[in-house]
Amino acid sequence: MNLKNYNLNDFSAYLSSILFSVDYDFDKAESQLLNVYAKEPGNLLYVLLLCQLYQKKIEYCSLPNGDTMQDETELANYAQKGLDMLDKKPRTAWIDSDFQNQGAFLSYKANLEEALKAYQQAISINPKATDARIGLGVVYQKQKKWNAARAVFEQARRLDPNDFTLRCNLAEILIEQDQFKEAEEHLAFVRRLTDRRHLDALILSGRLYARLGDKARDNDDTVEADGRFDKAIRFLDKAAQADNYGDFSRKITPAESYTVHYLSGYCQIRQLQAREKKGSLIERFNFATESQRNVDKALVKFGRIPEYAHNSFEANQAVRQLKKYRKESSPLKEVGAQGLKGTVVVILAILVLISAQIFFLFRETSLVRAITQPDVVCYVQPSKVQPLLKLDSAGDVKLTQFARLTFNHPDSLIARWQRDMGETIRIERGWIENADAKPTPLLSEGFYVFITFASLLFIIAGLALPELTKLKVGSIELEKAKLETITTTTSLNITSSASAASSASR
Amino acid sequence: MGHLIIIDNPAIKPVEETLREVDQVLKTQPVPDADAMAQLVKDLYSFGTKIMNDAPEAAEKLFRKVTELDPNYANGYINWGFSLHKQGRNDEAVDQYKISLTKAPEPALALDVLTWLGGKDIRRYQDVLDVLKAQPDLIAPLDKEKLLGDMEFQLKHFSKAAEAYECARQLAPADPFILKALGDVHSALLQEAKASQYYTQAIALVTESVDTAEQAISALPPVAPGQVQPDRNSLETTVIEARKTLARLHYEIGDTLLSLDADLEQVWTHWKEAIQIAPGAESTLSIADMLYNNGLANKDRLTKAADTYTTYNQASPTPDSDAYVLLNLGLCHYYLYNYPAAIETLTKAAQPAGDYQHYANYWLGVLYNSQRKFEEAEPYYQRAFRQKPDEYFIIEGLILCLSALGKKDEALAICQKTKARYSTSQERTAELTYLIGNIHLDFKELDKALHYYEDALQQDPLHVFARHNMAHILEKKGEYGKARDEWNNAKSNYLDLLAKSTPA
Repeated sequence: MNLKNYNLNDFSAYLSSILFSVDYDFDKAESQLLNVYAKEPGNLLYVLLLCQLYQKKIEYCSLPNGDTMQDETELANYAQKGLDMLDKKPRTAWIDSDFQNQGAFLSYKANLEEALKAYQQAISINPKATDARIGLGVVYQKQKKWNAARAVFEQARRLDPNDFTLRCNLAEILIEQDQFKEAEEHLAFVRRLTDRRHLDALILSGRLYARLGDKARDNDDTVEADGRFDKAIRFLDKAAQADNYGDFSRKITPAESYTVHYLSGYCQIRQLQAREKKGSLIERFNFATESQRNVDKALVKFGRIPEYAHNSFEANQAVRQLKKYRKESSPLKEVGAQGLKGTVVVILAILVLISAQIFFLFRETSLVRAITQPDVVCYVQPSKVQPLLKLDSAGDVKLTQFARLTFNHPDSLIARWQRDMGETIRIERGWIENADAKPTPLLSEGFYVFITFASLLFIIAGLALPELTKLKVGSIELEKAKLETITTTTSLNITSSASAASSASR
Repeated sequence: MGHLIIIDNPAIKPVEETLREVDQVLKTQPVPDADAMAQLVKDLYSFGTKIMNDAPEAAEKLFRKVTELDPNYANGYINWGFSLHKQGRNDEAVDQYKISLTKAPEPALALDVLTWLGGKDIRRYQDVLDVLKAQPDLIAPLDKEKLLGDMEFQLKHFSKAAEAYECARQLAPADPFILKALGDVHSALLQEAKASQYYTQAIALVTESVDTAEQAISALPPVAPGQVQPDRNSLETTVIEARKTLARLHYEIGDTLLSLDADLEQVWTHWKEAIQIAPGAESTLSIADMLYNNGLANKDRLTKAADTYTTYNQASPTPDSDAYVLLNLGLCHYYLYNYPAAIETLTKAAQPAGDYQHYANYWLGVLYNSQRKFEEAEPYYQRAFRQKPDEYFIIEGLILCLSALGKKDEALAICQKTKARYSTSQERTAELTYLIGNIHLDFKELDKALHYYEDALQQDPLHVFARHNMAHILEKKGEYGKARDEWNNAKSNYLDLLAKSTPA
């Protein structure tokens, strides 16, 4: 590059413009730019860049103490210097770019009425001046003259159809005018061509879908509302990633970031409100769990808004109410436990019923009898054993041992006797103590009938339990009314900050 | 050796060919006779001297050869240094100049070299002091003391400067510029009363000589028409010269005060005096130039510059003939937004053929361009382009104008043609490729523009504007990751170029 062909001060100025608009290194950019401005105080480009620098610094450096006063003073100071510089040129010699610069400096000084006139003059001299039209549109936007702004941006779009920021400006106005379909067309165009990396388009898309969600909910179209809020959340969460800049169109400003978090939290709650509660127990349980997750997410998002943020008051209020809501109406506690109780009762009742039927049908089998009839202690009467000992001294030991044994049924005793003593000594039933005692069976017919009916009753009761807990579900509905209050106090902040968002990129 | 005739005309015989022939002859006659060698050196030197202003690169090769053939030829090194300086390679130029001082140059030439080294552009003050210490007899004693004083003054060694000037004063007590220099030292030391005393003394000294000569003229008998009076003529010349000296003195006092950040009114007092005393003198032009060069952001200075140029022009024996003065006067009017006067003056400046004609045409183009009168601007740019087809700023201006007129193909054709002529110079080709990219960008053909910027960067990876615009286009296309990489590269390029351009 032949350096003789260029003004080296311009190199420093352009370098500083990269430093502040790409690296966000405001201090370095400021010292660099002030240095070249000192060398060429009559260079209008340097004054314009200084204004842009301070404007950006104000947008990106909202510190906890919120002190941007010095930068605001510098901005006004250099904007005035720019105007003074322009005044040196006789008005009769002014061309479109002079009026356009005047418009920019007046906008920096917030003198919107005069800025408007300057931009109009620039356009009247050069109708193809796209930048002047954008400037004029922004002024109209700031004045909330939506129709005028829209007309100007439309004209500018015809001159440069592929300008993404211009499309976003248009979309913003269309959202304001509830022209959601057209707004979405512009935003979809930008999202598609930028691979969803244009920050303004993402924020505005979030805002648009939040509005669309609200609209669907107002029309009781809960499924549509759910989907729209979901989309809004995805756009907003993506926009929040621009905090690290990455390969987004630009870095998100702190104010935009707080708005995005708030709006995302808002959509999270709105989505919860929009979701339809299904009748079945499992669906209700899932819904309750999902709701819990939504509340948690919303809490995280509101929690990211620091104390010094413009919407911290609303965020704090939302956090307080959500926490209270969460505490009072934990889904597990309110829905999950009730559902579980009913199910357990039904299952247990069915088990009891089945068991009762089995026991009753097989009540005569030894196994069932062993279970259902209590044992009777049987043993050979000692008076019967003594004579036998005299008869058979050889079987002394066996008899002695046998006499010590007890059995829970006479038949068992007889069987054991026959096995141990063989055919030599025959036992008689009369020798057995308690041989004819009749144990009271556990599963009497009356008891069986009782168990059967009781089980059926419990099954019916278990199945009917969710209906019984309907009152509790109703209480969630009541709590949702509280949530409404959380989500209806936000609109002012959402609108104003999104406007700031789109203007930051200019 | 006698066979070789150096034709010092690059149009007939290019420098390369001449040097090849010299090498060939030297090969055939390894030990040439001294006279023939001296003649060859002289011829090559004179060839180089002729072309060094217009073709410093070619001249450099000739002077390199001259010093190869005669390593003790001081003038060869001096002109080598000058041709390097013309190419903007000042560090290398300084090296050659320094070598020349070791080759016993003529004192006047040595003084020129030292003055250049210690001048406002190069500022090698300490180097000059070192040379004068090592070679005290290099220049005349008075010049040496004055130069020592000047260098010490620039280095802010004011007491040493005062010592040197006092020594000079001993050698030339009637030199008003030494008194002025002593006044400068006291001004720098903020001893205004003493400084003023020296300035008054210096002015009085010259005024006295003016008065004396004027009195002598008035004492002469009146001249009859057609009669020649040699004494009168000689005295009149003395008066004119003395007035010029006085004007120069006032100018230099003002200049020093300006460099010491004095109030412009204080400076203007001296300069106004200088203009009144000798309106047509060089000092008037210097004042106008000083005011113009430092006055772009200052309406008052620009107005004063315009008035001074006007005075100088009118005082000239042939007004409206100095294109340089007319050009600068036209530019003063332009920067003062006095467009009709600017057009009139620049049109006059564009009349005579010479070094400033293309500038005048170019600025007329700029003037109409800045009023969005593109159709009126175009012929002037075209004229300037025909006169200097290689000047980058003219090509750039013409292309901007053609783009504004929607003449894309014409603009592209100009770039392509110029590019074809410089196919061997990567740097020039890159510049033109960058301009082609700009044309496409103007017509919103982003992909084409991107392609040309990439090309320009391949030819010259340091072309930061091509990279800057490339990053801008990538951003416009929504390729933010790539754009960010290019912004970072552009940042490094800017830093490299700024470091490169900063004097060591």
